[in-house]
Amino acid sequence: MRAGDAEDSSNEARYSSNKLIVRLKSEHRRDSGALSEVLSWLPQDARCESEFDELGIAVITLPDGADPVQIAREIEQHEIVEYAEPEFLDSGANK
Amino acid sequence: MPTRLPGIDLLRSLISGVEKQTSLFQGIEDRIRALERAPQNTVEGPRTFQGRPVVKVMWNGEEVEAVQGLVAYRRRQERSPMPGESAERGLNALVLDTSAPDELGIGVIATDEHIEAERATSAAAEMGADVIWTEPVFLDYGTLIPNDPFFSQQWAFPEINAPQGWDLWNGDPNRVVLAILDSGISIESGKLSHPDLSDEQRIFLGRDFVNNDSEPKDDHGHGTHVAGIAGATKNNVTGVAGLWPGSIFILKVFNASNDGSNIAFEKAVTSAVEFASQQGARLVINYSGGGPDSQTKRAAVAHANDNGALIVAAAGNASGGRIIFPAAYSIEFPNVIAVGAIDPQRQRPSFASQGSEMTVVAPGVNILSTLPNYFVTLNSQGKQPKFDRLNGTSQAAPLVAALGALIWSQWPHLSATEVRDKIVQTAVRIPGSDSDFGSGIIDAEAALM
Repeated sequence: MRAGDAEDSSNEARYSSNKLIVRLKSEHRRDSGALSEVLSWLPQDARCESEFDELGIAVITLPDGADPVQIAREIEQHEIVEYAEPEFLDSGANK
Repeated sequence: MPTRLPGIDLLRSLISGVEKQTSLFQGIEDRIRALERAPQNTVEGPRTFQGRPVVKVMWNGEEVEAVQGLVAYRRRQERSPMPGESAERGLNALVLDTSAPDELGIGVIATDEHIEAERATSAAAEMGADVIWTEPVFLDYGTLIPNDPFFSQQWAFPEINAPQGWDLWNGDPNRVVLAILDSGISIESGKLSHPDLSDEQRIFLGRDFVNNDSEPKDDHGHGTHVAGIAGATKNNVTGVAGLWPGSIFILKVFNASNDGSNIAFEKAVTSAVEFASQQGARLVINYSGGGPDSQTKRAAVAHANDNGALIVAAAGNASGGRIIFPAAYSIEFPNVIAVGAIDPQRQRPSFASQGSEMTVVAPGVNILSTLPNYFVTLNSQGKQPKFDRLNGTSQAAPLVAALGALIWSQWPHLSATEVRDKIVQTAVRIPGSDSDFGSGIIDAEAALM
């Protein structure tokens, strides 16, 4: 897991620099060709890390140098996509 | 696991001396054992003892709790009970069972449970001139203090009235799964390896979403510590006690640096929901971590909500900064509890987050619990193996999650929202800001009453 930094509206959010999360709209979650279609929008070396699960969420590994925030914004323009976002990082809450 | 019924020791002591003398006593003992094994009070309603209503009676000018239909009596000892003679003379048709008096001359009469305690006691007093006294079988409460040697150092438990709560609790520990989404648990050679977290009958290993395998081995220490607070084996003359004695499902989402992600959280929530469904059990999810708002995290919380699961999450350690997600979903989702921390003076520790999303607080400073037997990241930060203390809202959250599991096992018909409401409504207010303390510190005794 490689971490980048980004600013959201409230807190500084850390995210993996090479992961993209995509969720399909509910009416497209049974589409057999959805994964191929999503991959066709991404840089050539992008590959699927985990296919769409029961919630319609898939994880894509991006090639080095790709910007998951920018790619997420672009992906979200497509009709079948509910949302796309980076893999934001959490931390255990002990001191 | 047998349920410990209140007052059971008193009743056993009454019959112990003569239990071999009559089949009646063996019958009573058999009933006690059956009741101990059976789920108790699985629906909310009048309290019972041995299947009989517990009622309030006036006795010597005081209102006390007694078991309806049971009467204790004492005969003069110089007179041996005659074979076939029973105490029912004065009670006529009211009597169902009568025990012969023990060596102290004390016995118990069981009447129809619908007969009021005062009436049965009064009637029993008419049994004969050799009867010295009669009285209802009063309900006693013993406060369960575990025999774990470090229990006296676990200040959190008396602070939340856990011993009193344990006395009241008579739920079925198999009805609820407490899923712990964290850095895993102490595992060596593929097996649970911590002496206080080794019960394979109730601690189940789920996925490791960091290394993508089926062995959620803890390489940081955080997860083992959280698991110990929630569910270390109690009364095993070893180490510490945990609050929840029932099923625990371990899922690894934090790596050796104690970092996780929104997608690991989503995968783990989905896995926990599936596991609990397979078990036919209610589900409480503890997440002692968090980070930024995320649509993936929100989808996971919604999935848990749709499936009736309760999520208990740490509010975070942003030193007065905002509450982290998923805890901060507590306003948006009725199945989320945001947990803050307090110190022994019931103050908000300086590290703790604050905000309007705060639901309740629990002790989160100097919390003694379990750590892996082997070297993990926390050992490189000065922590001892096996047992040590940590601070954080991470340590407060599992106390609330475990209480949620206790409540749900006692009243399995409740919804996740109703369990949350019970925790909130029985919390004890702490003077100060709601942003610091929410509805206050959890109270196990009040919540399980």
